[in-house]
Amino acid sequence: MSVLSFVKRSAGIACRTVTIQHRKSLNNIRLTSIRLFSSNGESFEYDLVVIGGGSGGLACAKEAVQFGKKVAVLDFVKPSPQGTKWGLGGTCVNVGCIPKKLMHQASLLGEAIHDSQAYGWEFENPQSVKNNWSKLVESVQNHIKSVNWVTRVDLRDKKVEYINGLGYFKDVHNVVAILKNKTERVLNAKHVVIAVGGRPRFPDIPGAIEHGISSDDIFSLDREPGKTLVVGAGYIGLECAGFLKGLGYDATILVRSIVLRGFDQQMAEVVKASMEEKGVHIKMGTKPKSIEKLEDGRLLVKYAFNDKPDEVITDTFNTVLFAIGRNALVEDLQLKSAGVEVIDGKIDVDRNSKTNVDNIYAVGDVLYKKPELTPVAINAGRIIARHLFNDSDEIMDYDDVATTVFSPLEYGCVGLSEEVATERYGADNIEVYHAYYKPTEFFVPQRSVRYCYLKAVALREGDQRVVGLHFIGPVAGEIIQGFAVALKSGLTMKVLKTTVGIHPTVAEEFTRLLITKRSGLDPTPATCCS
Amino acid sequence: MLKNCVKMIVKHHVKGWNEFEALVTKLETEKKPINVFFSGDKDESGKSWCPYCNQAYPVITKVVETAPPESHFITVEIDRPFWKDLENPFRKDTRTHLVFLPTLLRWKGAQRLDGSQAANPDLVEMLFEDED
Repeated sequence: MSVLSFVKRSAGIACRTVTIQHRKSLNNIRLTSIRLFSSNGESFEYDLVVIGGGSGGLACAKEAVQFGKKVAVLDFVKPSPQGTKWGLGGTCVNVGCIPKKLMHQASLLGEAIHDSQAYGWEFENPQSVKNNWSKLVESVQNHIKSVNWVTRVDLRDKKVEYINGLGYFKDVHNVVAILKNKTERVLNAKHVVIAVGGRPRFPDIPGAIEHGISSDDIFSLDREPGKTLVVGAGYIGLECAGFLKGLGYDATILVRSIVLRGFDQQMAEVVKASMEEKGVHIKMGTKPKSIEKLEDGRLLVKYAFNDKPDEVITDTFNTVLFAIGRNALVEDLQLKSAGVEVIDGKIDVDRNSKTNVDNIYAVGDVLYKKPELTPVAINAGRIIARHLFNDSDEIMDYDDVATTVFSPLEYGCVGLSEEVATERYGADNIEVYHAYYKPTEFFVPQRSVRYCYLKAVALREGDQRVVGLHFIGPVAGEIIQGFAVALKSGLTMKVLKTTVGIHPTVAEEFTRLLITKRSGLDPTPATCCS
Repeated sequence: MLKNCVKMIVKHHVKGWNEFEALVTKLETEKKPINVFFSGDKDESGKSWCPYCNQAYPVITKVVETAPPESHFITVEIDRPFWKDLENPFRKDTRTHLVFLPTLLRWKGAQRLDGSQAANPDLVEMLFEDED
C-alpha cells in the first residue's frame, strides 16, 4: 500500500516508475527500490541523497520528501579520540546546542538555589548543596537519546530512508555508504547534498589527543570533570568553562589572543570580565605546550605566555578540554571523485547553496565562510530542497543572523559589531547607544550588576537605522530573538525610542537607550524606574 | 521454524498499575529488553474505550510475532476512570510518564510511540527491532 501511494506521488511529478525490485534490507527500512527516470531519460535510484544527518541534512531531506521525492540520509559518527560516539541528529542535538544549553541551565539553577535564600527559601545545610555530575550527565543523555529516537521516528514516518553509514563519492551521481559491518552500498542519486558538519580540532602538542577531551566528550563524561583547563576562548570554550564553574568545578581558560573572535570586542571584554568575576581563571596570551598524565591520573599541563615562550608554567588538572576550533569533515568524502572543490578545508557554495558541481549542494558547518549555526543550516537545507524540487527561487539570507553565547551571563547579538559598522560606514557616520542596567531580580540576592550592559549600533543620519544590537545579561537569547525580527524589519532608533517598555524586564532596556558613546555621558543608570 | 517458535518473545498481560509495577520490577532483573504496550481496558466484546488503542492493538499484535525473541512484551490494560485521574501513577511515575493512551515503549529506554504512531506498522516494527 505504501508502495502504491509512493508511486502515485512520483507519477505526479513526472517520474516514471519502471521496475520494482524486492530487496529486504537488514532493518526492513524499505522493501522496494524504485528507479526514477528524469525527463532526459537518465535514471536514478534516488532523487536526493544527503550525506550527514544533522540539522541541515535532515531539514533538507524532510523537506524534499514533502515534494514526493525519494530521499536517503546517511549518518555516521566516528568516535572521538576518547571513544565518545552518539546517535542520529548531528552536532547540535548530541554534542552541541542541546546538551550545552542543558548544562548551562544546570549551572544557572545552582545560582538560583543560592539566590533563593534571600527570597525566603529555606533548606537545610545550604552550604552542602552540590551538583551530582553523573546524575546531570544521565539526564542530559536521556534527553538526547529520546531526541535521537524521535528523529528516527520522524524520518521513518516521512519515508526518508536512514542509512547508518559513512558516505563517500564514487562519482557525481554515486555515493557509497560504508556500513557498520564494513560492507559498502552504492546509492545512485540525481542530487547530492553534503551536510557532514565538523568536529573539534586538537592542537599538535604532546599529549593533546591522548589525554585531552573536547565538546564531543564533555556532555557524556563518565567521571566528574574536576579541576578543568579549557584551551580556547571562542564561544564553545567560554560556555564550557562557564557551566563547569557554575557546577562547582575550578575552571581555567587559556586564551591564545582574543576572546570571542568575530564578535563585538567590547562586548567580548565584558563577557570575559563577568566570567572572571564569577571565578573563572582566564590566562590571556598563552599557549599550551604539553600534557602528561601523572601516576595519580591527574594531568600535568605545561603552558607559556606568548611573549615569554621559554618560561614554562606548569599546573595540574583533572580535565583538559580543547575548544580551539572545528574542522569540516571533508576528508572521508573523497570529493575529488566528484570534482567538488575544497577551500581552506571547507566547501564553497553559490547563492543557491550549490557547489562547483551542478548536482551537488552543501549545507551547514561544512560551508566556507558561513555562520556555523543550527537554524542557519536548517533554513538553508529547506531552501535547497525547495529549489531542487519545487522550482523555488528563494535564496538563503545570511545577513543579520542573531546568535547568543551561553556564558553564565549570556551575550546575545544581531547585526554588525561596532568595529564592522565603523569599518563599513565610518566612525563619523554611526551612533552607538549604550547603557549599563540593573535587573530588578538581581537586587534582592545582591547579585553583581557590574556587567549587565547593552548597546545599539545605528547609522547617524535620519531616523538612525539600527545595524547592530548587543545585549549582555540574563536570558539574552530570548531577548535578542525578538529584536532580531525588528532589526531585520528595518528598525530605527526613532522607533526603538518610541517603543514603550515592559516594566520590570531586562528587555525593556533597549527602549531606554538614550546615551550615545559620542556624548561621553556616564552610561550607568541612577535609578531603576525613572 | 520450530526453533523460532520455541524462542519466542515472552508475552505478559496485566491490568492496572500495581500488577504492572510488580511484574516489570521482577522482569527487570533479567536484563532483557522489555517492551510495554499501555492501553485502555476492553469490554466483553473486546473493544477498548480508547479508540486509538483499538487501532494500535491489531498492528502491535502482528508485529510482536516477528519481534526479537530474547525479549519481554507486556500489555497493560488501564480502566478509564483510573486513566482520567491526572494524578495516576502511569502519568506521574518518572519511569512511565505517560501522556497518551496508547503508548508503546521500551522500558527504561528512549523508544516510545504514542497515539496514532502506535498504529503505524513501520514505526512499531522499528521500536521492537531497535537495539539499545
